[in-house]
Amino acid sequence: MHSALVRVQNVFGFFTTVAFTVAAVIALSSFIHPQTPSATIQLRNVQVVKGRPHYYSYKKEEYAHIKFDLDADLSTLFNWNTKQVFLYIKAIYPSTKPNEPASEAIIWDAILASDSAPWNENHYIHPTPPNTKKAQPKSKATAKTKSKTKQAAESPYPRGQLHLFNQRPKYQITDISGKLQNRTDVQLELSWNAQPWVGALLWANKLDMGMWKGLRGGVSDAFDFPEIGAKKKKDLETEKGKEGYRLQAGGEQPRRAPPA
Amino acid sequence: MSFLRLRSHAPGARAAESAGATEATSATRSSTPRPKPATCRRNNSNITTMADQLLERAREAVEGQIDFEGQRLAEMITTVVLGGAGIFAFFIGFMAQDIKLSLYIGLAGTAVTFLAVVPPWPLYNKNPEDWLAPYSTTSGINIDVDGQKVG
Repeated sequence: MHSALVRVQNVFGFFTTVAFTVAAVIALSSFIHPQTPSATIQLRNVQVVKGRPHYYSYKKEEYAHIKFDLDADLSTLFNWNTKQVFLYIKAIYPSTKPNEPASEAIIWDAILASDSAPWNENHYIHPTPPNTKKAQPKSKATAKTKSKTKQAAESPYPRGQLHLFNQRPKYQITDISGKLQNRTDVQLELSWNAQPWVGALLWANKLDMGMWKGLRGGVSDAFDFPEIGAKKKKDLETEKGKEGYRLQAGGEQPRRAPPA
Repeated sequence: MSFLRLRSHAPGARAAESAGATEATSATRSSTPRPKPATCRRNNSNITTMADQLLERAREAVEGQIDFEGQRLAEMITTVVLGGAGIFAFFIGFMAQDIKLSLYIGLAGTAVTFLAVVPPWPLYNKNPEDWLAPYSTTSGINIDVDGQKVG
């Protein structure tokens, strides 16, 4: 510590130690924040169509187009150390050979940013529920002037809550064999990856860890992929636009009455 | 961290530790200029000593040396302020549930520590160590360097 240079090195060295220690404590502190995630997921509609992987391809493959309903409360996943939660829905179907593991394919995903990341560009904007759509012609004008500055739309539900009806998939899925029709025991499953500010990415969704409860629900009933052309081709659009905010544009109304 | 002994140049126990470093530094710091070759001294002695003094001043400003008590104090302040800022940052951030607050408190604490410790504030030079008196020839030791008596 006798000269200025030695003091700079000494202070900076101890600063790195302190910063690392505080970061480690912060990472550990998220484990005492209780988590009780829950979700229900339901199949709404499934169709299998033939298509090509790209325009110039001679190979034809079968693609499944799965629409679903999702009610999820993941708000407890957001503690002070959460940056964002990557949420995704997998379709899981058993392999044709008995000794091979089941196939998993993601049909939809979303990035839920936490409040501590307001600049996050991938923030998922929840679509407006269909029954509230007509009730706001007045507020639209004010909202438009407000939102013109930065944000295009606001989510109608608090962060971490999702209530999707008849949601289109973001991705049509196919099998490695290219054959998907008449496959049985398909299940949809909700999973997520919690990404903290400091600490490890957390993929464990089902495990109970101390104050963290695993996901309750989040798996749909088993269904089958139908034959090609079993139903009339209706809406085979996947979700487009930034984070799928155009959800209900041209979409059908859900068959069941949404909860009040 | 061990405190370097720079100001004192003494035989015995003090000179024993880090003899080489002490010798080298004290040579540059001593007020009497080192004996130079005769030709050099005759022609450019004024310019050389002026440049030496300027260099010396610049080095003093950059090095920012402090005394032994000051070093101990600087060490203590570093530990206390930085460590305290870390603890403070965590708890305030945890209570406010705001991780950015933690970050800023930690960074502010670090900045304060740098400001408090790095410059040679007068607080750190309150106990200067004086040079020992030069040895007189009566001590009975004669050291000759290039025919000149040094000690």
